[in-house]
Amino acid sequence: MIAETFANGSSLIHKLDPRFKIVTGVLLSSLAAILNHYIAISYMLMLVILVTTISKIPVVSIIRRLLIVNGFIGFLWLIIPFTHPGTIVYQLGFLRVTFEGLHFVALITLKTNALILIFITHFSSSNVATIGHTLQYFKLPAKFISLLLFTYRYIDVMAQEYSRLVRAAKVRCFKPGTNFHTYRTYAYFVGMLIINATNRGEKIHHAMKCRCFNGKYYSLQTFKSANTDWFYITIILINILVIGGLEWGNITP
Amino acid sequence: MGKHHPLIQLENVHFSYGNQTPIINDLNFELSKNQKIGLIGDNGSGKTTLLHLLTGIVKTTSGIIRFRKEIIETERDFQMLRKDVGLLFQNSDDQLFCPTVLEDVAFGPLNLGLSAEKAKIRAMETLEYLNLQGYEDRIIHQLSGGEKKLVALATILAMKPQVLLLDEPTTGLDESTRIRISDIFKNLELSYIIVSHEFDFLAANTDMIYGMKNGKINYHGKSDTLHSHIHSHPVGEVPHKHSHTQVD
Repeated sequence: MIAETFANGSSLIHKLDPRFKIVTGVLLSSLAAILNHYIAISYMLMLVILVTTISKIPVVSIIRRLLIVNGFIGFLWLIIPFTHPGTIVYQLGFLRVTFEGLHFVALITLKTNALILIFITHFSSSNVATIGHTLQYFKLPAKFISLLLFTYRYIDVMAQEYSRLVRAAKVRCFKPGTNFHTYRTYAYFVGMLIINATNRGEKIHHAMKCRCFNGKYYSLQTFKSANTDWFYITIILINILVIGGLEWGNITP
Repeated sequence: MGKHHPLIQLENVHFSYGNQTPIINDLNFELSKNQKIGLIGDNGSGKTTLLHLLTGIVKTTSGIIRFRKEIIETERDFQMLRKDVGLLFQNSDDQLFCPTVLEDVAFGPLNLGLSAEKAKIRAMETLEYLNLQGYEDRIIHQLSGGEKKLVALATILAMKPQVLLLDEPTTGLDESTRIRISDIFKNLELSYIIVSHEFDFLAANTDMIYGMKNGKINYHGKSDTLHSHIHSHPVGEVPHKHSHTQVD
C-alpha cells in the first residue's frame, strides 16, 4: 500500500495551494540542480531545511528517507574522490585522492539532500491524486497524467497480485535458489503479472466505456489561492534571487 | 408480466469466440420495466457474457438486441444505451479506477455532460443515499472489499440508470455488507438483472429466476415458488411438472 506519509499533515506547507507548491518546487529544484558554489548551495539547503521545519513533517521519517538516498551517495564517496582527475591532496599507495573529486562529490551530496527536501516539502506534501489534477491544470499531456493516476491506483493491486503468486508458490514448497527451476518460476511470475495486468487494463477500459467514457477526462478539482500562497511564493522568489546573486554575482567562494 | 413495457429484448442471440463452442446459444430473453430478474447457472454457462452482450462490451455473433423496442447494433447505439444501463462488475478493482471515491462516483455524471459542480452534487447525493457519507475523500485502493463494492454501486447509481446489471454483487462479501446490499436493492425502483450463485440471495431480491446452462436459459420461475421448490428437492432444476409451481 502506498502510505503517502508526508501528505498527511495540516501545517502551513500542507495547506498551500498545490499549484503554488508545484511552481515553487520546480523553480527551487531546477535552481538547486545547476548551482556550483558552496555558499549558494548552503543557503539553498538552509532555506529548504527551514521550509521542512515549517512543514512539521516528523524528523524521523525525513531522516529515514534521507538515509536511503545518502546510502547511494556513500558509494560515490568511495569512488569519485579516487577516480576524478585533478590536483592530488592525499596519496595512499596507488590510491590518489583529488581535490576536484572531493569538491565534486561534496557538491553532489549537498545538492541531493537539498533536492530531496524540496521534493518532500513541495510534492510529497500533497497526495498523488492532487498532484495529478494540478498537472492537469498546468495542461500537461492527458496521457501522462492518466499514466500517473492509473499507476497510483493500480500499483497496489499489482503488488497484491504478485504476493498472491508468491504465496501460491510458497504453499507448494517453492524455495528460491540458484537454479533453472527458480529462474523459470520467476519468469512465470513476470509473465502472469503482465497477462493479469493486460486483462485488468481491458476490463477497466470496459468499465470506463460502460460509464460513457469517450476519451476525454473531466476534473472535479477546483483550486483556490489564498494570501498565504502569494506570500509564500514571494518569499521563495526573493530567496531564489538571493541564491542567484550568490551563485552568479561577483562573490568568490 | 409487464409485457407492454419491454426494456431489453434479446432475440435468437448467439455469441462465440471464433469457431469455438458458442457461449451464448440461440438465447431469447426479455426484461420489462421494474422487473427484477435473477440469473443462476454453473461457471461458464454464459451469465457474465450475457451481461457483457447487453452493454456492448462484447458484440453478438448473430441475433438481435433491442432496447425500448429499438434495435441496438452499432457502437454508437450502445453508447446511447449505456447511459441507461449500468453494469456492476464482479471485481470492484476493475470498476473503480480513480484515485478518490468522489472522483470515481462523479466520473459517469461528468461523462453524461454534467458540470463539475453538478456532478459533485450528484455524487454526494448518491453516496448519501448509500449511507457512504464521509467517504468522498477516501483513497480507493485503501478501501475494504465491501466498501469498494458499495462505492462501485454508487458509481453506477450516480448515472441514474433505468436498468442495472449486477455481476455477482455479493461474492466475497461478509454477511453485514450482503444484508446492506440486499436492503439497497429492495428499495431500488428500477429494473435489474442479478447474476449470482446464491439462490437465497436471488430469491430474496428478485421476482423471477432464470437458470442458464450452455448459453441457454434452461428453466425459469417465480422466485418465491422456485425457491421453496429447490429447497424441497434438489432435482428441481430438471424440467418436470408439478401442480403447485410454475416451473416447466
